[in-house]
Amino acid sequence: MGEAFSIVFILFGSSTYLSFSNRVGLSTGLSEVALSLLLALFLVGLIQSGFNGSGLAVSGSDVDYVFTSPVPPREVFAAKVLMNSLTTVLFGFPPILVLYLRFSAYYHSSWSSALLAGLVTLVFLVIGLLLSADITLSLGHGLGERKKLWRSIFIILVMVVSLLPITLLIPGIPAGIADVTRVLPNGLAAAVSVGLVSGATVGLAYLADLLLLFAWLGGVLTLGVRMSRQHFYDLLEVSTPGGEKFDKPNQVSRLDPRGKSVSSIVRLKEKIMMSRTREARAQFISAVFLSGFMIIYALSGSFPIITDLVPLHPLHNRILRVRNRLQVDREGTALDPEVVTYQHAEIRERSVSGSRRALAVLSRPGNRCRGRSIDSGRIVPALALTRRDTSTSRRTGDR
Amino acid sequence: MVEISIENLTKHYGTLVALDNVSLKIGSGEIFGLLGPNGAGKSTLLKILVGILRPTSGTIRLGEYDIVADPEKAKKLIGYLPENPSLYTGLTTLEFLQFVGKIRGVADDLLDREISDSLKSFGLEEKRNSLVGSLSKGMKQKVALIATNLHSPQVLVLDEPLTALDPKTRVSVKDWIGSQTRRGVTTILSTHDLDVAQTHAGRIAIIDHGKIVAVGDIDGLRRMANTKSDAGLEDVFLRLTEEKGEEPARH
Repeated sequence: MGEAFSIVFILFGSSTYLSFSNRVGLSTGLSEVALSLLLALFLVGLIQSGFNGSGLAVSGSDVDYVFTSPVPPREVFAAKVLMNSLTTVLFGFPPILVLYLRFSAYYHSSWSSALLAGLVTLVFLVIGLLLSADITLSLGHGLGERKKLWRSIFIILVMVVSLLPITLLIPGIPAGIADVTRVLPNGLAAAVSVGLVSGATVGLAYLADLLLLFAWLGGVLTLGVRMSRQHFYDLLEVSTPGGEKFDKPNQVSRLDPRGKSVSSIVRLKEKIMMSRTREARAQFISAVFLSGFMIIYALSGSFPIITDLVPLHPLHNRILRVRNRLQVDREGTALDPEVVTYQHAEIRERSVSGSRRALAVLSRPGNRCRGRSIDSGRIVPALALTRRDTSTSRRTGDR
Repeated sequence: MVEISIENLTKHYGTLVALDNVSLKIGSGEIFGLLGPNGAGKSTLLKILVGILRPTSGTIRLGEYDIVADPEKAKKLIGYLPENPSLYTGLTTLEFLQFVGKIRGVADDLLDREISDSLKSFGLEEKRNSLVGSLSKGMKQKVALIATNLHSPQVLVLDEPLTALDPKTRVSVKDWIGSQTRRGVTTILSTHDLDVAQTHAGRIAIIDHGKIVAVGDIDGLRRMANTKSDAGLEDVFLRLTEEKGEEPARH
């Protein structure tokens, strides 16, 4: 449940792509860049959870009972990471798969290529989860002075990996940075998966991308395994259970240890705890809030590629601020349907023509950082109406 | 029957020395009391003993196993009752005990029997399917006690087992401690309750500011504290901790 943020975000992104793919042709360049950014945002969210300890949550109960038991810490580490990743995979994978199936339908490639593309993105998701756990492990205080330097270097590298792709949103960013982001996990996952669904020829460069992606996976996994050999729970910030009240104090016991391994028991325990405690609900609410913020940022124009796509989705028009082109009051304001229709037609027309130009622009590797696909020469008046004011007022949107 | 050997154990938290060169030997089947004021280092010592914390230097051996070098084998011998145990509040009593028993290697058929017998003897049968989080403090402590003993450990480490318990539960827990000691299990008992320490412990170590101030049976401690021969443990304790009340070493 703690990964619900990523689920909602992927659903949002996927629905955006689905709606866009219905209206306008997609090019590999636009798909790859936008998907790369989508995955980068997911990575940022996961890494953030690593820094606040939820990448590898350790409770006081774990310390008192699991880490005083003969179970090797690495086994517990693996069981916890697996539980976290399982949740993300179960909920996050289907919409990703649907997205790729729509892509493959558009490119007339086979469903198997969509499935493979989905699996590649799955690899990326697991990389993110392992990285998140690695960050939590690295924050243990029991490091020697020499290792603290390495830990600092690791954290700086993680911040670069997670934040660098977002810089693609900055207009005029040097092309070299775009090339660097190309070898990061999100760039590689996007390139490989979009290449699969678009039916691109498998060449050496493609295979190199795939190998590099798996190298990332191997690297973060190895790092976690090495760090988990230590008593990583030493002085970790552990949470202690508070005075929680339960609506149903009596439950049917679901943990049957007969014939099960220790790893599966640890995973089962995590699953039961997540389903019964308010921690799970709190995480879900927190995730919904985060998702809401992500949607607001996207709709407000922070992510040019996504918001250029979003205006074509009828559901978002009423709460949309389209890159300074159309401002709509989201508080239930009544819009003049004729004006809205006219505006939408204008935007759609401009988006299509602009997108076609942008597709060509974006296809060139050096121009990946540019997200604008609308003709900047035309000014679109912004429209805002209040609930009480029935007259329309027009003002020119800021550019 | 397991002997415990602690040699030159030191633990630093940054510049704070929580344990300063502590050395103890606890014989097989002995009941060993650990007394000290708050912040003396008792819990730190016990947490290193059970493998939660790593020492800065020194060694702890349980029988032939070093807790740092061979943690899995050493931990198999230990039953640990934490101070204010953090139980899994979202599990039922049965699930919690099944989970603990399983990770401590209790065989499946034996586990069911042990849990049933223990719940009966502690009067918790009706609470089998109750969430641990909904139990009273006394019931939680009883559940924690059952969990400590499910795998029939050869070493018991009890950290403040009577803290904040109602009188009825305190009696139950004291009786339980008595029954364990009669079984010949090597037991380390950290407590503020001097009556419990005096009643059950053969030898007592007094720890203050991370250092062992005195070790011995009650008569030996009286001599060290230079008190009367019938002086209570409280007087002995106060005398010894007042005399040795020096600042902890800082690096």
